[in-house]
Amino acid sequence: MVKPILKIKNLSKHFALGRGLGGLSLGGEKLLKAVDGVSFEIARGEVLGLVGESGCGKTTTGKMIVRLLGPTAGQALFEGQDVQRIPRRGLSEFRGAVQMIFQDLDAALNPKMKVRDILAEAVRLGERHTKQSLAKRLRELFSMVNLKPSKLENYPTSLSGGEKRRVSLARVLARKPRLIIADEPLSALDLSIQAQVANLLKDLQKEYGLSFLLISHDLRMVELLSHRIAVMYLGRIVETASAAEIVRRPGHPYTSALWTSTVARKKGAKVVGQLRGDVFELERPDEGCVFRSRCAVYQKKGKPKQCRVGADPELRQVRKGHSVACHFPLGKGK
Amino acid sequence: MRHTFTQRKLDAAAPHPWKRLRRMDRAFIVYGLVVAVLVVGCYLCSLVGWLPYQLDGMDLNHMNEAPSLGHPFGTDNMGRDILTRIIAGTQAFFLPGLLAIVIALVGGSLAGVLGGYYGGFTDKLTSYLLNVIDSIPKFVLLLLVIAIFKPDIYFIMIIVGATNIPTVASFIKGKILFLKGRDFIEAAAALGLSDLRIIFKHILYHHCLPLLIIQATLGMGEAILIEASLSYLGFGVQEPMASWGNLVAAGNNYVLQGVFYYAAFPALVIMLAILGFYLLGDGLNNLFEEEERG
Amino acid sequence: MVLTRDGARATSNEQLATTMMNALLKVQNLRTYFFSKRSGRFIRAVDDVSFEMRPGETFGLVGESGSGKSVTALSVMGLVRDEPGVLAGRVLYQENGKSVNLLEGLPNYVKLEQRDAEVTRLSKDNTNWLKAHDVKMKPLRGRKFSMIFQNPKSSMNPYFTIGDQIIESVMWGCRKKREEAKKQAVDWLRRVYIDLPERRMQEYSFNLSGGMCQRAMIAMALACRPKLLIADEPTTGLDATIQSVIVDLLLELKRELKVAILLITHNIEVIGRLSDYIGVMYAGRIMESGPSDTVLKGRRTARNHPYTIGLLQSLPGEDQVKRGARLKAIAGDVPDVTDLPVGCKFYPRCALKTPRVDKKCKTQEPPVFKVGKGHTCRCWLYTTK
Repeated sequence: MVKPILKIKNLSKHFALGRGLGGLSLGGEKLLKAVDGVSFEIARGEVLGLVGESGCGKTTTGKMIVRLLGPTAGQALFEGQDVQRIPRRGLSEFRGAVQMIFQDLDAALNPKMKVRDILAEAVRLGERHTKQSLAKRLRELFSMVNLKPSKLENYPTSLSGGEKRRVSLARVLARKPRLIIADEPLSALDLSIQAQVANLLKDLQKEYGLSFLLISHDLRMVELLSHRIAVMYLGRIVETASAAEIVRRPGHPYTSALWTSTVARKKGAKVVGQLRGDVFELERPDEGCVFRSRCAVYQKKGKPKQCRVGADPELRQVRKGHSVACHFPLGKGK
Repeated sequence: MRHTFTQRKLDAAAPHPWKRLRRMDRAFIVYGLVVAVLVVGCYLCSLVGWLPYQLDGMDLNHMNEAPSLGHPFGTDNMGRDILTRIIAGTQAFFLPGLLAIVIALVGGSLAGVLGGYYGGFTDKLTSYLLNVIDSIPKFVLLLLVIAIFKPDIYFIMIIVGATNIPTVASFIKGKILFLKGRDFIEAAAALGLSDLRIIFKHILYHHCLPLLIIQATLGMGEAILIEASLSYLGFGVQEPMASWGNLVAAGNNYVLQGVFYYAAFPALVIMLAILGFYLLGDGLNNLFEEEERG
Repeated sequence: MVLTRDGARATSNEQLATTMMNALLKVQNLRTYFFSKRSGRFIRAVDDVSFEMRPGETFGLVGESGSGKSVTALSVMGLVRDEPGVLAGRVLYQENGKSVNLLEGLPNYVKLEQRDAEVTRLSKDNTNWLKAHDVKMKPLRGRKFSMIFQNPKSSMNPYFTIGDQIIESVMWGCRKKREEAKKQAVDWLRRVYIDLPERRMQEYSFNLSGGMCQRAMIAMALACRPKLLIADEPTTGLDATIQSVIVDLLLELKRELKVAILLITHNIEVIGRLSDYIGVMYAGRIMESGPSDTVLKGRRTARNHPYTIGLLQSLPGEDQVKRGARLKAIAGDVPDVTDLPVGCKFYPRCALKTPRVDKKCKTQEPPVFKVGKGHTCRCWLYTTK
């Protein structure tokens, strides 16, 4: 088997919550398990979509991969090397090879710098340039993301949302990365612009054989752009499969609910397997399956004991390349 | 009230932030700059000795003289020209004031970066220390130091600068936390920029410079105020050296004899100068805000 | 040329009643502008917008950022305080067979100077305009009209408990005593499926999740049975699963209470599921409006606006797009509201330009054409000439 570019092993991140929020004492230190034992791999040139609701730990996972956060347990191996153990000397090379796109359009854009200077700064980190070759490289980057060279002289404040996203993409590409962690690259954009940027991401990925970890809450966009999808719920991966499989035959009730709630568009359409409440509203169960309080299957099956006791269900393969962490995966026996 | 809006031609360039500023703010800034230029000018003149009269040129024939063409602000009880002494008085606070500003800005930036950028234990430590400094009443501390050490004005200004560190630090820290909240710093780090470059170029230079400039102007205003107050009380610059504060103090003895200008002119100069620096800081603050809006 | 629009039009009650028929709210030729100090130009946030709503019906306004959908809602509520603000148009509200123009006489405070359909100079007495408008709006706001916002957490006061806020709005809106209001508030929280409503009443907005907060807001808005609910991006920023919970809740309450909903969102799924009628906004205009099934067909044969067609095609959907295929994106960028093209505002991005109408599109803005039953479209394509 080909060696994966990124391998995540049992990655966890726990945050200690202060004693209650807003000065209210809840008694004792609480532990927030933002990411709880997550494992996956990304092959060279593959796009893995990481989907889930806000607060499920997707972004935290991404930040651990680029070493903005240190994990509580587990490892992230980039090209076989633990990213936490990269020595100082190798760090700048690693930072170039693994890049991150942030959800906030302005995150990468210093409002006081011209677009030209923002990009030049990124280019100079990895390459030596004369004045002419730098100008050429900047034009090249701009044509990669389909921007007019005249925009180089603009300040970020005078750019539209789509243009900002393209500039931040160009800044990321300037470092010639091999793996890009894209955290909600589309969600801050207008509808008609989302499609443009989605196409651009797809083209770039194909043309340069980039590997992507695409983090998003929009299952539909992810399905379109990724080869494989991992669905996250409360810090755990509950299902992984190829993109086509996951929407055609979702195994986890959560995936199914996520999908139907995204695509229902007809007037008065009822969502099948509607979830009850939301993540934070209901107490997180200490025992058994963490999803059961919102699970339609659990209700329908009459609250079976399996779901209530023991540990959270582990990922189990239901078909080739399709694993589900559920005691009663959907679509079985058909 | 009826407001009228007129559409400008499309090809007309967007107005400079200066143009969008309130007329009042523009006036403040202009006035503040005039004051700043005058103060710096006076300081340089007195440094190279370009004074209308000799600083200690006593003239017993012209004691306590009213303002005239020869002595626009009049003369003091020893016949010295008051204008000359006011010009020379800038020496009393200018360099010490700069020292205070430098200490406040450098110390404040350092503490702010330590607290905001690194966080964790360093944050706890610095904010504890800053709180300690902040909790000591500034003037009491100064009087105490004076009573114990009988220090010169430079030493006093070091204390003033140090007491201003918490203000600057909290501004810088707030700015850094704001930038952190918007993933700005993480994005820079993920690109591979070094900490030093992020701190100096992106945070301090690009985002905090306006803030630091404003703090500097306010700092100069405060330096004048403190120097004048202390000298007035007799703790600061001593005769025969000239200082705005001791001019007012000396003049006070003659007010009851009807010689009001001896104290009044220096007092007026103090007020106008401090006002100038404070208004400049205020106006610049609004100007930078307008600029921020783009 | 100095114009005072609409001031001269006859507004006698009988005439209004006949134009209203059975409508609850009718907005006609609404115009709301802002002034950009930076560029020195008008932001024509809402320009010549007309639509009508019947009781118990949902009208969805869909559009991208800067299309003017939120400003339309705020104008109807009389919540645009910035200058110059609302300039012209009529907002007719009908109850018990009587109808009033909520903007009656107000255009008198406004003076517009125009050259070639371009406003070059305008002056407005905003203080008196607002004063006069508030007199009309105050009895309606919170009682007959209520509103929910995009960010439920920031539209709730963090210093008061959820319960206090709902009770307060019930006391004001339904003129109830405190005890009664409290009972009603608990009932309403239960009605929007909030578990343990008595306990939740004691909590503050920052202790609730986004979805819960939005449901509490809905309870607060509907507690006094308003005739019209304006929902400004009620699901934006919430997760997909919670969005659909909110949509289900709104559908249910709409059926039970017969409340008319003016839904404002950029989310096509939400608007598709909730609305009876849809208006598609672009650059301050309603480009197309009609029954939701018709509008969402997104086909030229259905006489949909090219923008609507483009928008629907750019969505990755169940059936439109095969995996791995590219999306059909609308070219170009979201328009700059201070600098719109002369002719059709969508012209630069339009994919359906044909030589037959091309010149017209470029130079003349299309008026509102009737292209089907209750279906209008601002596009030269569907004219027979």
